[in-house]
Amino acid sequence: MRFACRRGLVVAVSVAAVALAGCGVHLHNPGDAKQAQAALASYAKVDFDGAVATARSNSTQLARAEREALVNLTESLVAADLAAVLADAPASGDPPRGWLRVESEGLEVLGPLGILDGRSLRLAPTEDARRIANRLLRRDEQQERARIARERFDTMIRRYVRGTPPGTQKARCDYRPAPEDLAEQIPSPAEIAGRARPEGEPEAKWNFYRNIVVRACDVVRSEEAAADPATVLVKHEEFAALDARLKTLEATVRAEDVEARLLLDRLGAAKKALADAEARLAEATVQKQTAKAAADVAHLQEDVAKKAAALEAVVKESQALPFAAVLAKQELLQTILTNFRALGGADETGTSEGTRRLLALLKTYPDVAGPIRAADKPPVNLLLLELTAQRLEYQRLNAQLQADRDRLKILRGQRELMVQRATGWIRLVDAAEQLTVVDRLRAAPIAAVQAAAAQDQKARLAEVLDAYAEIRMRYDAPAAALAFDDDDRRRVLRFDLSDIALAAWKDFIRAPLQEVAAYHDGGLTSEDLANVIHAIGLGGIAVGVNR
Amino acid sequence: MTRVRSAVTLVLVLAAALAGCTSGRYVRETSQILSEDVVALRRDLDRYVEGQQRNAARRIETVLRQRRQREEVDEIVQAKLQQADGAEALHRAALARARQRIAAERARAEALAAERQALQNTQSRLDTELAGQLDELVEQLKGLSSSPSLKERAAFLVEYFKRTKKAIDAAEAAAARP
Repeated sequence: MRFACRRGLVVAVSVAAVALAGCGVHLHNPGDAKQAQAALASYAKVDFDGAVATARSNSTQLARAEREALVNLTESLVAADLAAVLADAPASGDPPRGWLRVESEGLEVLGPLGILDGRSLRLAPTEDARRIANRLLRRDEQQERARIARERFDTMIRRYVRGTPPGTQKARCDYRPAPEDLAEQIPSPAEIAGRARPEGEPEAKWNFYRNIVVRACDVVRSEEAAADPATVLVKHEEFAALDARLKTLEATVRAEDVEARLLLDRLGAAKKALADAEARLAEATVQKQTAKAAADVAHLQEDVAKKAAALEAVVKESQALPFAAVLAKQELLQTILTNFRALGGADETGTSEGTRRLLALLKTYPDVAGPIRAADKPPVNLLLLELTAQRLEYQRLNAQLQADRDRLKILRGQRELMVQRATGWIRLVDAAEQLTVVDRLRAAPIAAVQAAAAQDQKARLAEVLDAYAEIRMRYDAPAAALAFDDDDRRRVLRFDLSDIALAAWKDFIRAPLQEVAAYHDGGLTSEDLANVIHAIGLGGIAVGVNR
Repeated sequence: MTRVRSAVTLVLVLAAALAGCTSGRYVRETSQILSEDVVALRRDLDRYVEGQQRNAARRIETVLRQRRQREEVDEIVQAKLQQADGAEALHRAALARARQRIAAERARAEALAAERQALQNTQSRLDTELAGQLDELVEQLKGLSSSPSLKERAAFLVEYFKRTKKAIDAAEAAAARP
């Protein structure tokens, strides 16, 4: 009877235990556990970076060969053009032949500037034409003058903004200010002439600003304008288009890089100011006993509201700049998670007033995950996942920023080449000034005219031909190389983005896979079950004994 | 029977604690989603590799074509220069002088940059903190030279009376001692 009772108990408990498996009780399955471990091991072996790294390395190797082949071919084409110019009889067409080709190319570059005399390679006999030509020919000297003027100004403005008390007036002096910097520009001497000393500005500082700083800035602007070839070449359509692209990209990089980081600093400061105000309020609230203390609390509450509004304003501002927005979201998420850890519990993410406020601000970003926006107290795992997503977004934007920085260098290089080409053509025009055989050059091959020309004309013509060869060699191959670099940089960006996409896959597969493997690794084994049954069996025996 | 019920309850609690009723389904669903994700990744990678190989093949063809073109162009140049007397010499001279000038200019620029760098290297870094330190000193001196605010004066008086009172109390206590 005792034995039957004990056996009945064991069977009942075993059946109950096994039946539970149907509801989802996890019984350990060695086969599944082995398979899960194998999956984890396979995952560890997957070389996520390998595919892109190999493709990147292959592409770099090819790019070298491509660039070299392109530059070599371009140099050969320059040599071929020069040969055609020298040997072909002049003829109009596309492209023209002989000397007419030289004239046609020169007109294409200098014609839009309005400095040539009709359709010939001669400067118009006007002071304006010579002045414009000289600005390009003496650009190096002008740039040096602009540099010295800028250095002098920098010294002045440092002195003005430093000291006790510091100067209070606008301190930016840009020759071509970006629209967002316009409000901070130092006025011109004419603009400041009738102004009275602003309130709060010490007299000595005001005098220094009006008489020294403003004038130094005026000199900088005029010297930099004179040194900028854009003021001359902007009439050239191709140059104007390139210059406009350059300005747009400069503004983008400035917004992405400098302004986003400045905004992040402001966000950090606003967040700290709010946290400090909240801490002061919390302290005062605890101590609130007297009427005066209550008034203090009211005042501190106002201060907290003010600081919260300031933080909200910075957050709103950041939403206009993708780079600033992603940095700000990371900052907010990190603070929320840090607060959560300090409080120590999944349900505590929304309990502190400060954290709740930060959560509310985080939710104002339209791209924050829906479940976070919907939840009053989002689970920590969701916030961690959002942080991972934001970090990936940051990496993507950062890769784009690096590419933009490099493209900026390429665009500047292309702009500089166009300036050099125009300068080269002005030199050629200067050399052609002394040519008296132009009519013969329009009728016979250059080589033939050269052979028959007088000694001085031979020398003049050689100078013109040297100048032509130099223009083409200085411009064509480097321009082709820069255009190639531009394409290649886009290719590198695609590799960077592929790397980031793979890193995302890697992160998003690893976490759940580890969880699945851990699940299969655990569970109720037959041994565990035997132990439980054994323990219950002992209980049964004890029951029997006691009876 | 009470013990039996306790034992069954123990198993139930143990089972629930070990896994919970929904874990198995969650793991199965997660595994299913994961396997679909890995299949998608695999497909993407295949497409990526195919695309890269196609690109590389196209680029190799372009390089080869440009090299061949260059050879052809060089031949055309030679043929063209043979057509006109004196053209070859003019061509050679113009290219050589242009190359020389470009090389000379580049060498000059590099020499100038090296010279500038060498001169800059001879310069020790100036102590730029001095100005900041002096500014700080000015602030401190200004603080000392300005007359105290009402609040500062009040704080001083409160502190003064506190200390005085403490001293008087101490003196009285001492006097009261037998």
